[in-house]
Amino acid sequence: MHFDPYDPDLHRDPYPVYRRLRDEFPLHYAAERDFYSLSRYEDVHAALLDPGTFCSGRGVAVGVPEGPDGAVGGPGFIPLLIMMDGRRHTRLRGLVSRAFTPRRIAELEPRVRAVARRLLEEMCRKPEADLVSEFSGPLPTIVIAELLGIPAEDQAWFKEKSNAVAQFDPANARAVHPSHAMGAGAELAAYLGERFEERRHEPRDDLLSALLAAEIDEERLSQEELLGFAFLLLVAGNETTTNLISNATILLDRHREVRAKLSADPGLLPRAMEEFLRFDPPVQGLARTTTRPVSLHGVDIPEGKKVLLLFAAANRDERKFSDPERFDVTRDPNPHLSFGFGAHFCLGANLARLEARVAFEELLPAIPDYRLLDQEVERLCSGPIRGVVRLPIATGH
Amino acid sequence: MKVRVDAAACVGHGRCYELAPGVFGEDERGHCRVLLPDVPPEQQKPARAAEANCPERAIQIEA
Repeated sequence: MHFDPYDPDLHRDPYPVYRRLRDEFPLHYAAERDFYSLSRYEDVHAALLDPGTFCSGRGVAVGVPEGPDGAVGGPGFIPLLIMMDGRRHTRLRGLVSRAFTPRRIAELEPRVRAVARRLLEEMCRKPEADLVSEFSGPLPTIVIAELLGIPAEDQAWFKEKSNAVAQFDPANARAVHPSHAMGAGAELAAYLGERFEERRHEPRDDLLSALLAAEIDEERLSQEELLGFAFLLLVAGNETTTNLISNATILLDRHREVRAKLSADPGLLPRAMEEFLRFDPPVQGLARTTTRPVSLHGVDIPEGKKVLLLFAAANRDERKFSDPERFDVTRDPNPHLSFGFGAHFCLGANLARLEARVAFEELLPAIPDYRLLDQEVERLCSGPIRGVVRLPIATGH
Repeated sequence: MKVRVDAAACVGHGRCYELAPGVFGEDERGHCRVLLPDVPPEQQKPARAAEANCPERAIQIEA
């Protein structure tokens, strides 16, 4: 069976393909790109909980070339938390996680709501609008930029550069990856370096200052680690939440009875967020690398091979969920794997949940009768991300 | 039913005190604090949900 996660045709509807993978090829090998895939819930869950066998230090995307020593990235590569293992990961994560606890994140709610309202107010002035460029795109970027302490006048530039870094298309690696993305990456790194420098002299009430002050066992973050972390927040906190909101907006257009129910009872939204995450997650899967030979479902994986853990396929495994193809915003329990699991569980999960919930608490009363203008939406081609380039809607105003 | 939390493993995702607020609470860093080490019957289902949802596997339950 042919399976290529970067095939634009797959993005139209990957779920029938995932079903075949689960049923017929629970451990699939894709020779062209030389990687394996796991798609059943139990297998994905177990691999996420076994970082000793399935490590992150050699990259979390498939089809991206590794360096000669198995290292990812070229000269000047900044280490990211998402690509670290063991003690180094635990130490760094411990330093930064305190900025993302439920309480710290809950404090952001009034700001997130104010940003959402401002964007929607603007959008509601028009009968037609692009939801991505006017709402789901700017909302997470403004929130993360404010959290980091990026001044308002730099935020448009910031968004452009972080998009260039986050979106990569391995099928066109030469066209996109090295020049465009790396160039933007270097510009962002230089910019963030300057912002850190300002705060070294004059700490402020923002995340960059908190990162500078973070200490564990009398150890501080190195300059490299500071940049790496700020970078990861940008990339991870940006496209993911944008597409969580975009994908949910599509779902609610296709399930108008559900939309009406959520409008009538916004108290259902926290649980609905979990179903949005399960049913059409913005991150379809991330890869690990085997640290030893592994045998599963009668297939032998050698050491040093990439294994794609398909969260989106696991989320629809009927071995785990009853009636998984049904979009049910009251589903309980809903143990989806869209934030991963284990040591690398999404650090921004609380922030993503907050942003998406507030987005719909504000969006539903503002444009209760919105409808998509295009039947066929234009899908992103960006690594493991499932989302849309634009989403033209009639606002009903 | 008894619950324990491995404080060294907890990084403060906060799933436990969201799913089982009667059994778990948060300390000043947002990390888990066990409020009810002996879980009464009506709290056992949420406590199990918290155990299953802890990404760090920091919660142990003994029946």
